[in-house]
Amino acid sequence: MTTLTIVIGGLLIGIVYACIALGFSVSMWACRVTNFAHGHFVLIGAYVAYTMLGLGLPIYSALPFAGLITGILGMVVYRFLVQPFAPSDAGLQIALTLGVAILLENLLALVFGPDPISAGSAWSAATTVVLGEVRLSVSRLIAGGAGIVIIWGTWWLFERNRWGMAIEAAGENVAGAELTGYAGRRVLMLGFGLSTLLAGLAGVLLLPVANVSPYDAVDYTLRSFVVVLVAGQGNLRAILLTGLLVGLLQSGGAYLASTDMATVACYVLLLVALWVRRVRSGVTALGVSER
Amino acid sequence: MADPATVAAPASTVDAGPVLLDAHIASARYGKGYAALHDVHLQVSEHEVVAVVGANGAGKSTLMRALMGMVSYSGRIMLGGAAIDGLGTAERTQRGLVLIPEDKGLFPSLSVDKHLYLSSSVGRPGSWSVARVRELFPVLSARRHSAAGTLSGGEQQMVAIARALLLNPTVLLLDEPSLGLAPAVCDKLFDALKEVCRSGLAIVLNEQNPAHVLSLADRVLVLQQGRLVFEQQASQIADLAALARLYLE
Amino acid sequence: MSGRSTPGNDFAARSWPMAVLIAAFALLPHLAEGLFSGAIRQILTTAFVFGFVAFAWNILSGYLGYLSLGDHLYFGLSAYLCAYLLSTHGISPFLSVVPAALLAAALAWSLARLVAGLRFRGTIFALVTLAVAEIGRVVITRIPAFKGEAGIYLQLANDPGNFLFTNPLVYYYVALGLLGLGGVLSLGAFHSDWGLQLRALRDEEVAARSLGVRIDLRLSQAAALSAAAFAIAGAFYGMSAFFVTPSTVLTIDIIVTVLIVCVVGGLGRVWGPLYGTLIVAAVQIGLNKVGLSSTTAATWGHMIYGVIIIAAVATGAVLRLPDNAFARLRSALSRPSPR
Repeated sequence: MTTLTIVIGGLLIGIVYACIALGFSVSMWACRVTNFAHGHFVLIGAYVAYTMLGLGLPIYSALPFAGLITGILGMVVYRFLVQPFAPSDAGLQIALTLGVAILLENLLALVFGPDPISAGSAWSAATTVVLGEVRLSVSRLIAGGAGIVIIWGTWWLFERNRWGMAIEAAGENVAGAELTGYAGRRVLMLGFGLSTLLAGLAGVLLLPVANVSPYDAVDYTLRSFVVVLVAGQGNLRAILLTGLLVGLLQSGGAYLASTDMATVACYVLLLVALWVRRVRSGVTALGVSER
Repeated sequence: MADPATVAAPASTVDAGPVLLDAHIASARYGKGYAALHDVHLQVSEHEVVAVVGANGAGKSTLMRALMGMVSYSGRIMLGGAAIDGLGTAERTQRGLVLIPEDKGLFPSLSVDKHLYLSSSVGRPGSWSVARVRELFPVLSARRHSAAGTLSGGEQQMVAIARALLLNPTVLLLDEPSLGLAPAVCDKLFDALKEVCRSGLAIVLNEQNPAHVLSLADRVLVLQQGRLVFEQQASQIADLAALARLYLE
Repeated sequence: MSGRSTPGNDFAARSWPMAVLIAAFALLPHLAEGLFSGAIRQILTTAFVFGFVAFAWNILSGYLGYLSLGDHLYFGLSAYLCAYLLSTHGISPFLSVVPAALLAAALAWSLARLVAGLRFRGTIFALVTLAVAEIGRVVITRIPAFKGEAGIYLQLANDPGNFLFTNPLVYYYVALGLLGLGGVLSLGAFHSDWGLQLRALRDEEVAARSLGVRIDLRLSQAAALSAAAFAIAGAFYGMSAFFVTPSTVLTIDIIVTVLIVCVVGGLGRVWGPLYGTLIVAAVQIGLNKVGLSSTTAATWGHMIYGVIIIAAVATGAVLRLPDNAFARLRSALSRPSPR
């Protein structure tokens, strides 16, 4: 495997990470919800895709189903769990979504078994494209392409569509959104549904490029958190770039050392980013914490 | 101490139209820092500007929040002849009752254009369009892509008013529009409001500063400790001093 | 209304429920020998240890309101250090637990400083602590001296100087003592000025800071305290089990259990961890009696945990009484202090 192959492979999976992080970003910044179960929604998407494959259907036909399931499930979780019990307290949200995460994780393990699943050798190995000296699997290419479409769609939603704007607005000022004629609670619920929908879609894209098991979910939550934190609030371009960086780290790290160490490298990136931010902000006045 | 509430049935001004907002609030609950209201009666007609004055804590903001359903109250509010007590804030806004809150209610990260788009896309029928508000407040074009959080106080107020107008309200509520603004900016603002008045909507205005009140209002209500203690046609109030005396005592 | 309680009498008055419980558990092995099986002793010992760390964790995550999800790192780090130093260099855990706890405290302190001054500090802190624990787990597992997944095994022999006892009842009583210590810590912290500041920060962070309370310092202190407690517990656990492996001392299950204990018992309440750990112990004893042991059962058990957490947050949040900590702090600060 040449360096270029690894790099491009890393970039392509980085796009999937960017999608996951995008969803997490929406829930964190726009809905002011810390969703510890975000990675679990990703996994639900992956398992939906897995089921579709098992039924003999093409994997990407799972996209609408996965999106629908995770989107609706997310709205249900928000409406009946987060909104009534932990609309703003971060600590309670983490505890609550942790409970949801544990529930989902073991539910998946119960139904599908605890062992890792993959899209199957028929999918990944056979179809590769050779461009010069670079070998790329078609599945990764499609995943990357679909990911770009999703990211662009999200951009359009927040930049050109009133509902995306309303979600962002409600996240900043619920009362203000109400006074503009947008029912705050409904908008926040939609926003959360959007974040879990993005997670589910990303999960479908993830299956062909990675082996996943229910217990990996937390890793995806953490990785998307790294991206969101390093990229900063609401900066779509930064999220994409950071996602790519994390993808490269993962791909390169897995090749050079091991998957474990690659994940560690990602978390170290988080610490470095925080440290840099700390050093920078040490000179200026500390900001008021808004939770 | 002003005269107790010997409120005559509010006489309509000469060119006021039908009653658009008819609110009777028997009591409103304490919110955080908001005073309670007792037995406040407010009616506004088309083309009419009503000013509500009173000291800090007299209940002016509570009144507006109750009208919008943001604090709980007991009483009855009719908008355009229909009771709206069961409706939430967003629904009342969609029916044409629009409040510009004291803190302006803007979204710091969103651009000016997005604010305008959010309002105009609610799609209430009426004569206000994005082009028209841009005429009224040229700054909206100049700073169209700027995030609302980066604007000055006066500019933010203009955005707040513009996007309220884009909702094509039938009744517009303004809570302390001049708060925190430099006098020159205030004057410009109230000139703009005068122009808006001519378009015929009903306006209810909270103001601590009595100077602007007389230039704009048709009728003045005085609140003291949550009660309506005085109501008077603006034309019958001699001058600023007389007005100030009404609620500062 | 006095903000400072008179010590001594008040303390006794407030702590008698726990004193009674501890006395009961102390007598239990002797009074109910028939019921007191090895499994129950094991479950209770673990429950006491978890209660101990939960008391300390509750100060950080309950009083201050900053959820920390990575303390299992300190548990495992300390367990490994003590086991390694004992097995390879013959150093008593009584000695090595001290630097282990200090190291844990220093790590936690630094981590807390790292998130100082940031928005969304609570969320970031929770996830960063988890990320660091993950880093730690991978690193520790790869240290050759720590023997990776296989772990370190200690000689099964009676060696009081090195905190090794073949009679498991010794560990039972030491754990009970730790539980009592935790309770004293929790109670004392709650009624101290320091604890009042923590709770005021949780209630009204902006306002409390404007009164001069330093959030970053308090976060570091509370985090360090919790880390030290986990370190002590880790050392205890390693010795009592006579072996340490990544899956027993570095697993995320540890912190999840502590969270469940606190949330079920009442996050932020003085005795919450006590009730929580007893409830969890009761559930485990129940499960033990039913005889579940397969992996499917474990999965079901975990699912029940998930539901329990959700239910606890739901009912806890609904029943949550507003603490007037901030108001008390403000009045306490405005009065001239008799110092």
